[in-house]
Amino acid sequence: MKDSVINKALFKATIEEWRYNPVFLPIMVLGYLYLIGFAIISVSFVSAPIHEATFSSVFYTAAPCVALLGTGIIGQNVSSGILSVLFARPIRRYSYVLTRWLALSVASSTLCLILLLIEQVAGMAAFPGVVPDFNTLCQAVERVSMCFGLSATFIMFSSVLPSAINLSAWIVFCFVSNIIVEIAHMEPYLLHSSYGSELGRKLGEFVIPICKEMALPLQSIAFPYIDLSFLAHTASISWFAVFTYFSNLSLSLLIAIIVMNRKEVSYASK
Amino acid sequence: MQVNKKIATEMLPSSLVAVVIILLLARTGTGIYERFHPTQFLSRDLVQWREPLAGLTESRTTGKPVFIYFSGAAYLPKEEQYRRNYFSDPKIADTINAKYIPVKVWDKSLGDTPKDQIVNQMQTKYLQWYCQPAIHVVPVECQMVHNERYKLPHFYTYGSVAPRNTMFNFLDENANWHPLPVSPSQEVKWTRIEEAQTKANLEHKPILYFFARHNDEECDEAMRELFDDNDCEHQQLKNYICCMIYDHTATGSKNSQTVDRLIGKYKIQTYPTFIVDKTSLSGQNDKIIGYRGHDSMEEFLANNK
Repeated sequence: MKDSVINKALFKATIEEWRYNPVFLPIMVLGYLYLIGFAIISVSFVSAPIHEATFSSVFYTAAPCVALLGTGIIGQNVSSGILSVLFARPIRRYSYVLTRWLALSVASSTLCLILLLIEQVAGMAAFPGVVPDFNTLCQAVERVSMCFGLSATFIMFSSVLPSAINLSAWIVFCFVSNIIVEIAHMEPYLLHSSYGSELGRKLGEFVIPICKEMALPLQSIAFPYIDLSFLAHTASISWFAVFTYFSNLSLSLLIAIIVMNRKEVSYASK
Repeated sequence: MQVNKKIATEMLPSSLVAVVIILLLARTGTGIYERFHPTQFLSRDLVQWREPLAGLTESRTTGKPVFIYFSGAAYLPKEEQYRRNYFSDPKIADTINAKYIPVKVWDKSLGDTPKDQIVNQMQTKYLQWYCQPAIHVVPVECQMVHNERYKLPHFYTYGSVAPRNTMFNFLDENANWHPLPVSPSQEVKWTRIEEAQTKANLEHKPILYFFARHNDEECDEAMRELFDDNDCEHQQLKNYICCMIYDHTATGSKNSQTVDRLIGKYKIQTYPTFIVDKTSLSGQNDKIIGYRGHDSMEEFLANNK
């Protein structure tokens, strides 16, 4: 039995899986080409000169990269029966989960950083005055942190749900969390404006406080990343935000491991 | 022995469990602390926000457009993102302070300030997108009239906040934005005053200036009868570069310099007044003062094309 937490052979195998999968590879390549095209067009063809080369947000670059690679990252293996073969070998299940997470995080981070580099080059080519600055460095770290955080979320959903349903689950989760955030932000309009109706006000009094409490925790699971802008813009670092990020990440992995430990993956289960 | 090995593959890593517990405790502790000391963890705001009433008055004095920020509770995710991404950025804050009169509606510190009448009025009048936070740019000309006549520039993002460059573009584009009145009809293609002469030279067409003012029955009638239906005027109007100009002084607002220059140039005293400017065709300008009905307008347009 190998005692290392990360299984190197499994790490390599995960990367190979992406490289040679006849279904996923074209989707990934096309999706990534779209992202590259979008990045170049966003930076190069703008109505006014840009002030910084980074035109895309952390979410819109990191999330698609993770989604492209992380769809069905564990669920596909369960559904296709690969796990039955894999777990016949003396591999610890937590090692499997952590290795898959690390492979997904590293691969998506690499794609994200290449995208950032392309954006920077396109931005500098279109507007020579625009050079990478401190914000660019923050962007790079934030993107990597989102890749690692979101990979954990994808791993958790994928361990619970079969096949590639983890992507749908995450999209629904994002949508619901966004709706809750939007409702929380409607407080001035719903509760304190003469615009809203009496029914809306009564409903708002009940719903808005709940949404306000749920907004931050849900967002930190749906879009987990470490916000580094406090280095430039905030009076104090919010340790709550930092601990929330790492806590969600580790908790997601722990849940995934517990689920995998309890999963029946023998041939008899099929 | 086989059984023992199988169990060993399904173990929980104790170090991960310990890390999870420590992080959860740290998260809870810092969460409670930051709930009681929220302001020191909020991003600094470099925009010099004015009170709503003072902002509107200053806008009318200086002629700068009002940059209205309809905010919510300061600690909510999007509020903090707006503050962190936009309002704490020196370049963005400087642009807002220099080119606009920034007004923050609703929130002063933590979103719990009581609501006063002017805030309510501004929400009713200018908040065209109900979800907050949202930003609206309201030029001087639009402040005293009902906003349904105009499509005010607004900035709103659903979900995650847009990159800073998007805000830069928004600020650059709308600092000198002048209202383009919304015609009742979608058939008539209205041109911005600033672009009218260039377009007329390019297309070799005369410019038709429609000078009007708000709350004027005759102007409203002209607007309704000429631009609201699909009669032959629309065919005639295709031969012109159409420009609608509202004199806002009657409603206590200030006109932009361009509008004042045109009113002075054509010596407009009565509303509505129709001017056909044939400078691009080297012809004589023509005008019709007041609205004299459907037929005379049709004749006027036919004669001057």
